[in-house]
This record gives sequence, structure tokens and C-alpha cells, in this order.
Amino acid sequence: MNWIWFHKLASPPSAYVFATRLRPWLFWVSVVMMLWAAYQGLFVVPLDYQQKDAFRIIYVHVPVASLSLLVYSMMAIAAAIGLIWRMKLAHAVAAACAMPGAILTTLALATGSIWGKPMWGAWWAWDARLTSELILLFLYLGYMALRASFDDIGRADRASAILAIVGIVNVPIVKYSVVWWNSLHQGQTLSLFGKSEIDPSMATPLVVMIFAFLLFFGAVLCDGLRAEILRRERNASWLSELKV
Amino acid sequence: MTFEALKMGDYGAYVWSSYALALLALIAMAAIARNACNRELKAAQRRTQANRNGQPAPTSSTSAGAGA
Repeated sequence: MNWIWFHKLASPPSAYVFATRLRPWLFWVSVVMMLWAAYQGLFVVPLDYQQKDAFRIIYVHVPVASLSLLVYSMMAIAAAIGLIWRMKLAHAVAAACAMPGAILTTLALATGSIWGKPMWGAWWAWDARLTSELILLFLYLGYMALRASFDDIGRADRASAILAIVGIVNVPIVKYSVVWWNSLHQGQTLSLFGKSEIDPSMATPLVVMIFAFLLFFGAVLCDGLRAEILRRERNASWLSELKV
Repeated sequence: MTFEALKMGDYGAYVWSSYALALLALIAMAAIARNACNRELKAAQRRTQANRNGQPAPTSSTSAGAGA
């Protein structure tokens, strides 16, 4: 198998050009998918027999909560690749994941809290799922604060990579907290590969919304990565050849 | 579309505020990343221009802390 394309992509100039070209496609496709899924979720899908209209929050809460875990996993894997193989671009990817990851986690906690009030009668409970998701937010914030505390990018990369790798232990805790502990939070109802407990009429817009958020995150990551590459490669000769 | 449909039983405030928050978060996420990228691009432009003019390259005004 020819891996030249992969090695080429790992070079900052190629990654910069690739991210620049990919970003508008990801952005506009995600916007169209989000609008369709939001319309379906708000006005078309039927009421839930127990939660009534409040269940419509699912169409923003589930995608952002799922992505908060996925983005952290991606950040930790990229940080590990950067630390082990000393690949600068991997550190740049990890750094670019932190801000959108923190915003997605905050949104997951906020929309979960808004959903919790009418369903549980409380905005917040020190439940295993909620608490572990809050710890995830602190991990993102800690990662960003640690990076910001170093002037030297190399030292910031190494220190923050260790934090990201250690913090990955929290991801399965968040995911399986509803299985391992007696949680107030409902169990998983949607499975992409197994049997879902949610009706297909409700599941289809949800799946579309999950992919829409994923593509939107991809677009944001492209911009974040470009900023990181420009910051790290400020003395590189290829930048002067670039039409900036 | 009727007011009742927007009210969603007694859950309208919860549902609409969730969607509004999500919209704000998406805009913030895209704007922060875009601004960071534009800032770095402008700094790169300034450096390139300074190099062409034979002046010492200005230091980046952007990378304080190199935050994510």
C-alpha cells in the first residue's frame, strides 16, 4: 500500500492547504444537515409518550455529549502520537481540539441541566454521569490552562500531552457510568451498530444531527489547525511562498 | 405555525432555550477558531511584507501563551 499521501499530509504545509480546502465543504454540508435535523426534531417527529415535547432537547444534547467524548479521545490520541513519535502536527491537532471540546462539553452540561429540570425536578444532581462529564470539562480547561502557562511551545506540547493522556481514563467512566452505577441519567437508547431502543422516526434526525455536529467540529478543527500551524511555523520559508 | 406548537405543552422554554444555547455555542466555536486563524494569517502577512522590504520581521502579537 502506498503511504506517501499520508506522510505528505503529516507535513505542515500540506496539512495547511488540505485544511483550507476542506473547511468550507465541511461547514456548509454541516449547516444544511443541521437545519434539516433541527426542523425534523422540533416540528416533525412525534411526541415521546413519557417525556412529551421535552424529549426534543435530545437533538442537541446527545450530539454534543457524544462529541465531547469523541473530541477528548481524539485530543488524547493526537497528544500521544505527538509525544511518542515527536510529530509536531499531532500536537497541533491536539491543541486545536481543546477549545471546541470545552465548548461542546459546556453545552452538553447546560442542555442536560435544562432537560433535567422538567424531568427530574432539579437542574443538577451529583450523579455519576453528570459528575464525570463535569470532570471532563475540567480536564479540557486544565489542558488549555497548562498550555497557556508555557511560553515555549515544545514544553507546552509535552506537558499538556501528559495531562490529556492521563485524562483519557475519564472517557470510559463517562460512557459507562449509567451502566456501572445506579444513575438518574437514562441509559443509552441509540446505537449506531447494534439495536436501538428509539423509534426510527425519532432516530433518523438524531443520527443526521450527530453527523452534522461532527462535520461542524471538523470545520472548526480545520481553522484551529491552520492557526496552530501558522503559529508554529512562523519562521518557515514555505509561509512566504504561501499567498497569505 | 401556531403559538401552541411553539409553546410545546409546558416545555417550550426548555426546548427553545436549549436550541438557542446550541446556536450560540456553534457561532462562538466557529468565530473563535476563525478569528485565531485570521490573526495568525495577518501576522504572517506582516512578517512576509517585512522580509520583502528587508526590515526585521515583527514578532507575532498573537501567540501569547499559545493557548488552544
